[in-house]
Amino acid sequence: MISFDGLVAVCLGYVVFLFAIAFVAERRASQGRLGWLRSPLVYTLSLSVYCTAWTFYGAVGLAARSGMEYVTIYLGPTLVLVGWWWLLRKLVRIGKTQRITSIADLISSRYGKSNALGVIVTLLAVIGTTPYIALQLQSVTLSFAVFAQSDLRPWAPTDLNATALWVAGGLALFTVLFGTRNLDVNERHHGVVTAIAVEALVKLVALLAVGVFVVWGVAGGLGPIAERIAASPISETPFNGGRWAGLIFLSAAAIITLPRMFQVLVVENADERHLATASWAFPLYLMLMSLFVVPIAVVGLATQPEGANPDLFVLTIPLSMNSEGLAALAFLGGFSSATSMVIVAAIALSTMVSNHVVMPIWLSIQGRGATVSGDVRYVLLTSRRVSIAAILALGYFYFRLTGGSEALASIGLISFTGVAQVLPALLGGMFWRGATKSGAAAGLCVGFFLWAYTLFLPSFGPEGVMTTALLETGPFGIGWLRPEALFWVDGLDPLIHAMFWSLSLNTLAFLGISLLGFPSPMERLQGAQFVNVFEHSASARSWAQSTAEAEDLLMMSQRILGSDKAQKLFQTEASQQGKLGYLPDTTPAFLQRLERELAGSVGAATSHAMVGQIVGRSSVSVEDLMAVADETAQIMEYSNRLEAQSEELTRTARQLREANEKLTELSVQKDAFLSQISHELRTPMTSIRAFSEILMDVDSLEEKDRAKYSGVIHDETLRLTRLLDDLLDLSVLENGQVRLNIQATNLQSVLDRAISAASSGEGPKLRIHRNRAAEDMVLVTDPDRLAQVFINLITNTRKYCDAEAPEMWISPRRNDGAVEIDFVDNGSGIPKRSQSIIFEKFSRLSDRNSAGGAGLGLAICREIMTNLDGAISYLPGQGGAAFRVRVGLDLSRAA
Amino acid sequence: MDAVRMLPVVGLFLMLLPLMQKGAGTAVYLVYIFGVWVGLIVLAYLLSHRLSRAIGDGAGTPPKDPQP
Repeated sequence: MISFDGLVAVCLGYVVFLFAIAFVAERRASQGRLGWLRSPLVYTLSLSVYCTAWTFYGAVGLAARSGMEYVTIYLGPTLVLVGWWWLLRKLVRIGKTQRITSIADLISSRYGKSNALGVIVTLLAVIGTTPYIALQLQSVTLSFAVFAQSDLRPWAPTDLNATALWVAGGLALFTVLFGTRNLDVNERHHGVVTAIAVEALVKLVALLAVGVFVVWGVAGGLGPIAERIAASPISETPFNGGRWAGLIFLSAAAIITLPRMFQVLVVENADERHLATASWAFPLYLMLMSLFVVPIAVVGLATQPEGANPDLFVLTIPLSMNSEGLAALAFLGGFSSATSMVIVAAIALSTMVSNHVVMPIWLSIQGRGATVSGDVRYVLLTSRRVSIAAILALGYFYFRLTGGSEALASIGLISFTGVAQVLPALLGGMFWRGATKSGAAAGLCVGFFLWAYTLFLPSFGPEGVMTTALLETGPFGIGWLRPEALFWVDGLDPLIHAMFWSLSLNTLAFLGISLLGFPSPMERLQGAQFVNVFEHSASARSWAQSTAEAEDLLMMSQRILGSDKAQKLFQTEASQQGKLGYLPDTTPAFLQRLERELAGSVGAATSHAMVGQIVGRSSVSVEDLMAVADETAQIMEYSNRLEAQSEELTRTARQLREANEKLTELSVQKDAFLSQISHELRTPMTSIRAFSEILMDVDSLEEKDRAKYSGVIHDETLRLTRLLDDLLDLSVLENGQVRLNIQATNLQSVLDRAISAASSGEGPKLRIHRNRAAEDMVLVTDPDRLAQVFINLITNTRKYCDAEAPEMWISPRRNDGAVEIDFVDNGSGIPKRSQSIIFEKFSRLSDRNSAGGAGLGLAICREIMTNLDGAISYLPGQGGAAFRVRVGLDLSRAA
Repeated sequence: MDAVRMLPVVGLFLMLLPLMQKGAGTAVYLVYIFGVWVGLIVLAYLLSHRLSRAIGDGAGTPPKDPQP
């Protein structure tokens, strides 16, 4: 017999194996080697979170009790998958274009990004899923108990509760580790999905192995098993047509609306074409999972003692036949089913809770506007981790409270019915443009209430939550309000009764209120984009041209997406608009794109609110609405073409205008410089001439004066030489004729040298903050030239920083095979209109300190960095003047 | 494409057929349902291959990174 310790060891070994798989997958994904991680096979297998422990063990139990009925749980999903072209394809496309993070996000986004709806769906999902999680914990502890009974040494019942606690804790750890590693813009979790695909294989193999064992090992082949089926009591179970049709419908609804299914089906989908594979492969998987269920049930009823729990036949049959290896495999299969469900459900629920409950509350508490709201990413990750732990704790307490009662066993279908309440709002939102927010809210609330009243609360049994009197005679003795026989409809199966009333009244309320009301502009816009997702690949706009400051938006996005990602996004957008630098024009198209990017992290409603706080208003103009209306479709298409053309023209014009402006500015600067340089050349020349004339003409000159005059001449020639050196240096660099002295060097020593060189001499004191640990890295580059750039940046700050006590922060870090060193000071920065010209030759921002030079410093820096295969750029939105120097790690390899 | 739209409808019809018929034993239903099931899977397999080729050719190809 397998001992308790042995079983725990098997469990632990398996868990370590899963951690390793998830870890390797995360590693590969972070290195960009996605390969098989994104294959359609992994996608299909990940869908198997549908098969939980409830189906793994419970299907056999259901078959033993009510014959063929178990198969309906798999037939519904089969129909939905086979009909992917109707529904799933559209759902996945919407999920991708709108960057949907959860089913609550989808509903909230469709109905005008309303957060109230998001909260309702989240609440429904949490209430519907928590008992389901408890059910999984129960199945794991029950399967432990099976081994306990067969063990010689009896286990104390506390062992079982402790088991559940350990399982819940371990699952929370796994989910937090791999489910909240980062805030991916797409909310994809490669580690988790891969681990779940592996678990899918384990449970399939386990169930098939038990099936093969039962048919060929116990019954003795296909012929004998058919005779046994015909002879068993299962054959005589009456066929309940209502439940048959109802359960097919319910399971079909569940595969779309269960939060965990939505997560793997839509959110984790990497490619629409994977659906094509899943459309036949997932039904095949389901078919194989249910293939041996009836034989197992029949053999279990025949061989197991009277009163044995049929839910556990998968374990007890191999155990009673002394095949311990098979029993252990079956145990792992059940364990896999339970764990994968809990992990994905916890991820999906925590995303909803943090995006729709925590974030809006947190934002309104902050209340000072999105620009100053601190690091949102940290808050978001923490709230997800806490929600995961809380959800699992809730599941555990529910398990302890109900104490493994019968109520828990039927919770699977009750949970299905609960989440199916989202279906009318979901389908209505996808196919009917007239659906409104108030309609969806009304439908959801009616359905939610009726589900709780007719099914969920009565499921706790008589004297559970509802009193026996309430159940038998209705509230206050009103007969037609009896929870299990609403409106005198009596004699129906309780599940079908509840499903019928909750879903039909839900749909009626949804349709009725939608028809009475009128959708707001925002809802119409989103509605059109959802319903016509295939036509509207280029979507209508929801932002008017605004005066929002790109710099404020950048500041906010940095806090949500992280500075690298945000800066890259802004830079790309700017270059698409034909602009240099980090700050694009805040066009409606750009605002919409930004909002979607943010929605990938915080959900549509929150992201819309945050952008709205900066932009000021979320306005939808008349033109935008015309795009929505059917009647104007033709005009729309025509004007679209015109618009595309004019957009092209506008872009070219802007590029030309910018080039022209730059040229004019440069030419003005050049003129100014020419006059300046002639002035600068003339001044020393004049004094040189004057003093040399004195030296030539006046004979009776004292020795002291002679020395003084020749000294002046010497100084002036030095100044001239320096100026000419700079010009020469620049022209050499520009023509690429420079000879670089490439060698391995430490960044720290280069900075040391630069700072000591730049700090000598007179002038205001500058405090420099460094990060010595981060500086310690080896570069292969030209250290002298690099130091020259650093010196220039530091001396510039010393000269021009207008703060009371000038300070500078130097922070290097690695990024994409290069090092980025940011120099940020605490002055007032460089005005926006000058940011684009500071790197041009002869540009000087002020005459405040005209001894500064001829305005060649930064131009030389830029040329040096180009020669070193790097770059220097101005970094807006950092508080003061900020420059980013980017150096390749190894110049000799790049060359 | 119309064939793939018909598939779930036909499937549902065939799956609901047992409602009309009373009396046959569980074993008969079992064979019937699994037969329908395998048929659906094979048809879906054939259709999905033709469809994903159609998608791959660019008819209705999803944009890799949807632009607004």
